[in-house]
Amino acid sequence: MRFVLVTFVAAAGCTDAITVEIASDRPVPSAIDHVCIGVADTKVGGGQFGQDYALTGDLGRLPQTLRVEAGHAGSALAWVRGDRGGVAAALASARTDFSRDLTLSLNTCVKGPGGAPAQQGDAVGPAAAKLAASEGPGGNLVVAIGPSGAAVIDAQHGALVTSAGPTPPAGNPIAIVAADLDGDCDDDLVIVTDGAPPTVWIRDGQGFKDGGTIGGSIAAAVALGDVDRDGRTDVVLGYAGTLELWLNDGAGNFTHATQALSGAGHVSSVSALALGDVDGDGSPDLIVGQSSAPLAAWLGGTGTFTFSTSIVPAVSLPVVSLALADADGDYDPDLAVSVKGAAMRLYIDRDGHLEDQSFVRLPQPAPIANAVAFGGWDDGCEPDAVIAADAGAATLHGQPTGTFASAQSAPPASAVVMTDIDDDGDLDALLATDQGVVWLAR
Amino acid sequence: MARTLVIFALLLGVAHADPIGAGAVGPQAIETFLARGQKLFDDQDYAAAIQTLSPVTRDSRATRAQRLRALELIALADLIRGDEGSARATFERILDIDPGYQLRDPSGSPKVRAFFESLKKQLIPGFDPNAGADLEHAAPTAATAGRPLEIEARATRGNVFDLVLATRHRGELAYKIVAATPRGDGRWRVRVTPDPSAKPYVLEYYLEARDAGGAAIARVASPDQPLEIALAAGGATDAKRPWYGRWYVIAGAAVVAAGVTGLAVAASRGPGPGTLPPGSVTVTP
Repeated sequence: MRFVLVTFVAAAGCTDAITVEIASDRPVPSAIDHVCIGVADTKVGGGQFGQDYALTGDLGRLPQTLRVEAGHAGSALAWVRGDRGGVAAALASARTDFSRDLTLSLNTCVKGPGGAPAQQGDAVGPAAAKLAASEGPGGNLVVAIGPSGAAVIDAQHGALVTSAGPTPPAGNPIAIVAADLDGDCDDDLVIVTDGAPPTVWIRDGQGFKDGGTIGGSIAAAVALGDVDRDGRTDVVLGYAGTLELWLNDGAGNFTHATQALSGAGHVSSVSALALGDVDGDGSPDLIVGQSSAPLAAWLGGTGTFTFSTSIVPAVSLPVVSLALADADGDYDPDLAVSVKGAAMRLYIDRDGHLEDQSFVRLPQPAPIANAVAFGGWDDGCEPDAVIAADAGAATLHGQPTGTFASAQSAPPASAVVMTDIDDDGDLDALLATDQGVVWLAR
Repeated sequence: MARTLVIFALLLGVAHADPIGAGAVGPQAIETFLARGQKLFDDQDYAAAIQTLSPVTRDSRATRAQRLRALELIALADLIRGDEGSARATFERILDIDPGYQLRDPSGSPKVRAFFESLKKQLIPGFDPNAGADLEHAAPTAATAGRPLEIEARATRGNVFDLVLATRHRGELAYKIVAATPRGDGRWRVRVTPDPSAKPYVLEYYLEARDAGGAAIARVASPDQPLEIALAAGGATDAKRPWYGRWYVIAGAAVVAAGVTGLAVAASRGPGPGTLPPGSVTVTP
């Protein structure tokens, strides 16, 4: 009898299939309406699965599960991206050796280990770069493109390491944004420079390959989101007085939707774009920052945009960069505006209106920022922020009152991303400095 | 024991003496602050008014309208005290929140208005001194009680930040307020479901456009002279649930389904298929 029992348990333990559970305490669909699930063999050249799911009908709740068989894989990375209104809102990942079931949680509370952040290893890659983080097979990568070159950055044994990527487009980098463009749930890139049309890099295993260009015009700003809500990431480009929507066919090929969006008569000097579902109707709205004209906004429909004066105050700010992310933990996207030569602004989403609460929420005097990244970095549940600034980067602790308190300072930086670069389950900050890319971890 | 009770009672009394304690701050408590600040301002105790109102401007829970009211009173108090630098900084904060802000200052002081307007001209490109708004709207002339009806409005002029629909049964005094949803290009839409009724009745309504400070800048009709929609009887249905909607049928079906699922899982090797299509995937075939 004992022999039979042991044999049964051993057989059950030897199974090469596990259940991957996607869980979240975020309400569906108001805070999370799509999930994109990826599983990839950790071995180079191994298999990969990725699929986007709309959380409607039978799938209109979490948790959901997927049975994952190893096949010939010895271990794999599983990740899930939760979207709200066509834009990524949460991310979770974990490695598995197929010995036990896995739960990927897109919970509201994202905590770090606490303690003061410290630089890990040396600076690597090009100086004064633009940065973007990409989740995919093998884990998170950061792409840095500067005037002097490009590098794909990963972390190994407590330090940053670089590898080569495709040849970057000509000109000085203006912006890099990451999102899944080819439907496999890993993050591809759109690179905007002042010398070439926007260029696509497709995530290819643990590196990237060239994915061609979008249109023939040189852009000044770019934003990515599923504008027509077909589960495929579309591209919004902006330059001077022009705004363009490029719809994705699902394989990373883009068609200009000429009737869907136009900046004519409303913008004249586009310098930054951001997409996010500000009014909570399930479609991403568009915020436009300009170098010498007021902030402007377009309400997203299903594949179209209409100009609206009611989203953001038309304050004239020379905008360097925009970040639409949840800064107060209510799932709605809030707007951080980096302003040239002046204090950054923070607009809080209140019932679909972005309200200037810079004086209320930010430590005073507010930093003069080049870029802002949000994420759960300290040991509290509230979103935190890392500010890239010429006067020295700053980390801001989110407080239970909804305000931010100054914390540690860091080297002067031109750009910042928050991502789990060493895949240990905690967010890290990567800053673009004059010495290269610096990794801050707690 | 008696001493403990007395101390407890005293502490309770202290806690209730100041309802605007740290733990009690909310829109209502902020209203108390605002009323207190307004009273101090009206009594020309400007320094105390500024001190009382300043926390409202820093409280993230204050509504946009509450912060704007506090900021305007502070700016006016600064100006009256001759501190033009502080007044300017405060007015700039107001214009950051709402570039179209109109002063509420009931005194109508020409000096205050001139100061504010000159600031607006400096800070707001294309500033329109005659700001306001014009509305037009489309609504059904008749509808059915208990069923949704939609009203559309369009701002043909001005910066409308919010648009609300106020409705009431004819004969009632109070209106119900529902916020409209912006549709872009100055268009707004609002959907309401009038209360069901076994008898026809008349729904009275008006529309109000508001600026970012919450002040009304345009109306279609008014609380005193509302428009009307004739509602036919309807909506009061209470059909009996079908047999398959009864709880014990659903519960029984769930038990059977769970049993079948359990047997299927037990009969297979490893975990069963997931809930997400295709149910099962292989990483490296």
